[in-house]
Amino acid sequence: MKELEARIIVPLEQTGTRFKLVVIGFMVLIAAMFYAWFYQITYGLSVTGLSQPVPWGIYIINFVFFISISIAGTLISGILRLLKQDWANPITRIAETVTIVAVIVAFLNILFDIGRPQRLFNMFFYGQSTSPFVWDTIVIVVYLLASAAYVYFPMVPDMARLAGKVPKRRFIYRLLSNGYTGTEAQKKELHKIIFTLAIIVTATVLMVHTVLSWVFGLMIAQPGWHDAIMGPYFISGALITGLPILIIIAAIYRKAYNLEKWITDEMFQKMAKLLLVLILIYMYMFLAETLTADYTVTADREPISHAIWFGQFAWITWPIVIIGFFVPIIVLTFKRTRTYRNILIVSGILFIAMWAKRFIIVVPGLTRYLLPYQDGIYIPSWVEWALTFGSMALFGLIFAIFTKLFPIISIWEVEEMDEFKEGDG
Amino acid sequence: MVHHVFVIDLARCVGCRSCMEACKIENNTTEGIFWMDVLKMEDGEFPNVQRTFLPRPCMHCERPTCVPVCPVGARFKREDDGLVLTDFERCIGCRYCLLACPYGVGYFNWKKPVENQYYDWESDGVNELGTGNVKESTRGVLPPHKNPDLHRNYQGVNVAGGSHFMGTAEKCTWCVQRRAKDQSPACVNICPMFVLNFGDIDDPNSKVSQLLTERPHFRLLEDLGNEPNVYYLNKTPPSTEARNLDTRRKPE
Ligand code: SF4
Ligand code: SF4
Repeated sequence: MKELEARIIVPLEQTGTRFKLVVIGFMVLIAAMFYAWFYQITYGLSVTGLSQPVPWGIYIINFVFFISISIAGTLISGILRLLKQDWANPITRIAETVTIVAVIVAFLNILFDIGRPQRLFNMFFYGQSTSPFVWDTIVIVVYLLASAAYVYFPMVPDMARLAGKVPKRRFIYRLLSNGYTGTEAQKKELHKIIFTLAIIVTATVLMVHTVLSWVFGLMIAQPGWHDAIMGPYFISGALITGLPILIIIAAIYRKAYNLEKWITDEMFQKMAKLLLVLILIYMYMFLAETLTADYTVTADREPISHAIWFGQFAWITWPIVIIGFFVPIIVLTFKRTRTYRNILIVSGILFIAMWAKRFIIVVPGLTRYLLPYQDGIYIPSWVEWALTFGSMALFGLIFAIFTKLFPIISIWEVEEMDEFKEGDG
Repeated sequence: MVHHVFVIDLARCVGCRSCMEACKIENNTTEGIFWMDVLKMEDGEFPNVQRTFLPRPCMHCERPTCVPVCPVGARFKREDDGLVLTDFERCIGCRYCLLACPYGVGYFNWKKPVENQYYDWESDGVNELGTGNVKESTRGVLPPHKNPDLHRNYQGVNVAGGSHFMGTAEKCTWCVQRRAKDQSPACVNICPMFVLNFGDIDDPNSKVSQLLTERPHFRLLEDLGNEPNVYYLNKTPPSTEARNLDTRRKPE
């Protein structure tokens, strides 16, 4: 395992030009984001495409989207750990970091969305137990804390080990290692903590997505949302949003930091198969939801269904269903098409498709009132796009910085895997 | 306890929209915001087409769906008289209440109110509509665009709207500032056809109670269970086929 350790230390100590260029690219987008945000705070939300009939737009979509991404980490490192599937060990740390960064960026999008961000603390002073928004805030905060602990504890042995080897970070590593020396008692304790945390994050992640779905599903005034299946629908939707992004990030960093030996092709095959199953589950939910809502439509739901499938939004819906769902299913089913490159392409497709799917979930219902008012339209403005791409860049940047500060593969956990035990250990 | 309701006589409404005007003047609302709105609709198929008008204030529901969703309790139902109001100093502007109201009566201040008024109160130049500034168009007589009653707290809460606050939600208050003086809402007083009636439904001798006993009536979207406090006389609710005849743009 000397080899892995040596490889892991490289990016911690030196930074290449390519990395710097990417960071600069991110910085530019983030600067644009802050400019746009400042502009929006000065002139109010009128600079967005939001207006009276459609008061929620792509900020809320981004919020849902980033929260969905966050499930990836818990799936790979929490659920698989509980199921004793240790093939994913080399990417657990990437996965958990994705979770935390995604939750932070999701929160930022809420700040973009509300009209008076400076009053957000009112939520803590006057929080109403009846509001799904408050429930959502509570579970997300719990989830963020649990996930942070869940990144931290598995990192302790690596910190202790690298403290002496990376002089630049000795101080912080020593601090974080918290006196861990690797004795049997400590190891046992650590395993216990990690196992307990895995249970906690797995339980909270289910709540996070269910409560998020209730923010929409409980609105009786919105026939486009009011639906009991929303909870499981959101969970499975989150799974096929988060996993593709995790696949893309793992692919990028294994290439950039030369980690092909540990983050193997075989692992990508396994993730692809998992993804296939998850897409099929999602299709099942999608069918259940669509049929319930659109087969015998109520008078309230009828114009919304029409707009989604044949009207205003059909040009988004059909590509999502055909390119976004059927093509990935076919590509991932056959061994011949399930190549590494195709897996990445499919992940990219799902990234876009799932963002667009959130648009179809949130917006069409809002354009129609229950009373005969004028129908609404919603076309996002440049400010909203700037904030969207800016938050994606911020996601990339925070993650990139993390990889420079901490080892992105959990060295000791990889060592515990059978396939890496012999050889150079 | 008094229990105030609106009783709106649809048979008399001619769609003059005086009530909307009165509301604008009383509450100083900005462009694109209609606390009182009159829906102009056409209903039915040729040759049986009917043109109808539906005045629509906030229903101040008995079970308002907009209240429980508010994360900070800025939207609340006042205990003593049941008015559903917004605390403008607490609202964080999440717009959840707009979505939760089945009647679509919630509005949001997308812009700074001064920039979103019909006249540009601050500048001295000619505005983009070419109508000039306030001083010019009123020959130096500045209309009282500030209703001082709006700039007070009622029962300790800022609910009347003031000169409106960018980034907060608002809606019809049934003229909470006039209710404090025991007057009816501004729209009720101005209606030339006596369409709008406002009064205590628990008092059997009041006009509203008499109208409701004499005439058939309905409430909007009754099956949702909001128990709205606005009753409509005479006609049936607009059908789901009713088409709106207005085009309304987002205020620029
Ligand atoms: S009509 Fe709408 S805004 Fe008014 S009280 Fe009822 S739910 Fe709330
Ligand atoms: S917009 Fe304001 S009043 Fe409405 S739900 Fe949000 S915080 Fe409450």
